[in-house]
Amino acid sequence: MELLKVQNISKQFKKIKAVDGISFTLNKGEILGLLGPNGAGKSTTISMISTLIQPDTGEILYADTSIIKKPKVIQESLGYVPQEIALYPMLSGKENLLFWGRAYGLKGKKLKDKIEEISDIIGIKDRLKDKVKTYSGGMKRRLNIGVALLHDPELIIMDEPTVGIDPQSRKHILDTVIGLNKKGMTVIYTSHYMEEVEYLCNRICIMDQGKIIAEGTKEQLIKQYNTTRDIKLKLENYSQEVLKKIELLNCVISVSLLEEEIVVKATQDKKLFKDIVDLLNDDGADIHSMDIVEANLETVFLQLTGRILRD
Amino acid sequence: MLNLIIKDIKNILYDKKTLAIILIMPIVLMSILGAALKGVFSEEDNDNDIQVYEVAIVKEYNYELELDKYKGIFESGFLGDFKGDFDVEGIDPEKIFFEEFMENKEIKEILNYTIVDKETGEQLLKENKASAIIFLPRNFVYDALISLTTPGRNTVAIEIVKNSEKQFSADMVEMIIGRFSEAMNANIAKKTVLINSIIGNGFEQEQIDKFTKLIQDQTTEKVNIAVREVTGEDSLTSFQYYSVAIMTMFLLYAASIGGKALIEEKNEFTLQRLEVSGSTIAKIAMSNFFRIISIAIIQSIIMIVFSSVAISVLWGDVKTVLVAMLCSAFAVGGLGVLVSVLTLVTDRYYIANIFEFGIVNLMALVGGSFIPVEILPKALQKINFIAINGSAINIYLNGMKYRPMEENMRYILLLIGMGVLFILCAGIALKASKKRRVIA
Repeated sequence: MELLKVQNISKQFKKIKAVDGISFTLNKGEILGLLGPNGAGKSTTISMISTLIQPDTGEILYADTSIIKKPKVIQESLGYVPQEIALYPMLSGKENLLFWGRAYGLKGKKLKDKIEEISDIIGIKDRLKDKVKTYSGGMKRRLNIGVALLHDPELIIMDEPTVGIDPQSRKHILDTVIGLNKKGMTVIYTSHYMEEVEYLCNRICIMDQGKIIAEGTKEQLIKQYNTTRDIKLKLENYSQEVLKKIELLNCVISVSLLEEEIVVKATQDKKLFKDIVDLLNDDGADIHSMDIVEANLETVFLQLTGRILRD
Repeated sequence: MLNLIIKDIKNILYDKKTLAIILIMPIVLMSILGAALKGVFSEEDNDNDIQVYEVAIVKEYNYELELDKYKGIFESGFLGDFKGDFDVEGIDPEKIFFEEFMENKEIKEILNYTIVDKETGEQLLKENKASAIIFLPRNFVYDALISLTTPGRNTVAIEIVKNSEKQFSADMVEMIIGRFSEAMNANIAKKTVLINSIIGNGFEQEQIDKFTKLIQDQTTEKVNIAVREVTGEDSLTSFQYYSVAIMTMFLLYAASIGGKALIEEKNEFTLQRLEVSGSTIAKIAMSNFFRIISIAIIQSIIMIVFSSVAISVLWGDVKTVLVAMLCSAFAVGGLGVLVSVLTLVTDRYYIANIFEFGIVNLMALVGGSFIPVEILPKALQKINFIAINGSAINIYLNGMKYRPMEENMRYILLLIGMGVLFILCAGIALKASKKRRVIA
């Protein structure tokens, strides 16, 4: 079921076109990833979906209703986790949850119960009475998410929710997102961490310079845009001839020497690995290690833009 | 809305630095200034003061009649052959007072006088257009002439009615008229010389003795000055003045804290989050308005209680204090909201800073929070009421003097008007700004 439909939206700030005519849909129960480097237009896109800014052109429909004309339609069903820690540091965790819960119209026992439930989910129950300014970065991030969950939103938008936190907190957040999705929550997740998007998302939109340059599942994207993989070899006592023979193999695109490693770039072929080993054995080379680096979204992005994601 | 206000007040109460600015600093300042500037309220000596003060002079005497009465003495035969050709030109008390004294260059630099009737004088005092009324009493000319030209001394009681609202300048008038008194006494001392002149004109000793005896039946007091303040009013102490002045100045800081609220919420990204939750900027701005009002009221209550208990300041009429507190809080709330909206829609933090470091201090000066208004240049005195603290100070001081509420109406309406105007301007600024806040 289609929950959100973004149709050809654009946004320009002075001379900079932050978003340039993008379209995509979001189905109920999906985790959609917006992947792209800083400045790709991810935050502007979700700001438009969150009704914070209006697109210059295009339309955004939530449950078939224009949120540009009727922002309330999405506001009531939306949990918004901004990239920044949007909390009141002088207030305690509980006071923050109380305030934001009331801002979403919760009160009384329902609010109290919800705070209990959410503080359990985000794992800050024992620090609820402490001021937020005393929390670690990871705890603040978790509370930042917790605030967005108080009113049981149908859709949650998370804008780079794991920036600058420790691996433990990151894993907690990612597991929380998966848990919420299993309970039926639809998620839009933006990140420039490829592995997070790969881990979480059912569908991915790769953004660059305000445009969606690729869209699909991880497998679809890799298949569509990148069919190569790198085989990294650490060798001794090998001849230059054997490298030329490897380069002549059917699937091999290039062979290069990077420091002490030989990198063989090749298309997907199950037989290739065996052929390389046979040639090296025939040459009498000593093989210290062999590592196959499979294609991923990083390499898809590299393939598409010529740049790495964290540029 | 209540949720937003509670959150904002909690934020302030938990912030020790802000609390210190809005509560501890004014308490310390009002104590220091009240003690340090005690002299301004009780001592006349102020060599640096170059202000020209307005005084009203009421002539209660009849110059012609009193001169005739004086001449009659000579015509009565009491002085023998002398038939009233006595020339009063050099000893005319009116001329001495007005032409030689009030028109004196030094005096004119300080006092500007207007001769009026009693009713007009009282009206001028009531409207704060005069620092004092000088009453030149009935028989002023006659008594002064007698004192100046005979061995006797008739009482010349110049009365000064001081404007207790312009205490400093009224004290100044009192001091200056005191100087006139001294000058008159010096003239009286010269009378011996005059009498000698009379003798030189050919009076017999017997006639002079008769003349002297008659005059000596009069009292022998010198020129006296009676001073009183406007009926039923007490003058203010420096602690009273500075408790009001500092308190109202720090209300302006409450506005400056509120002035930064929206842009700080935006910079903390809580504003965006609030917007996404369905709160409009107008609603958030209004909660900021109530937050500023709440802070201003809390601030006022704490400072009034502190000054009453710790430095024994008498705040006067409770009703007036309440009205002043609410009206000033309302105006300050409006001002704070306007500054916060302008800072937000222009996305320029320095607007709030200009307000805090420029406009607040200017208002504090013009409104009389640093030094009493009447010491300021006239141009600033005239615009005193446009400063929120200026109007608030006037209401509080009137309350301390138990003035009727009608006298505060002008300031009450001004403060409410300012508050409404600021809110309207804020609303227009919000509406005019199509620009939405951006987090991308």
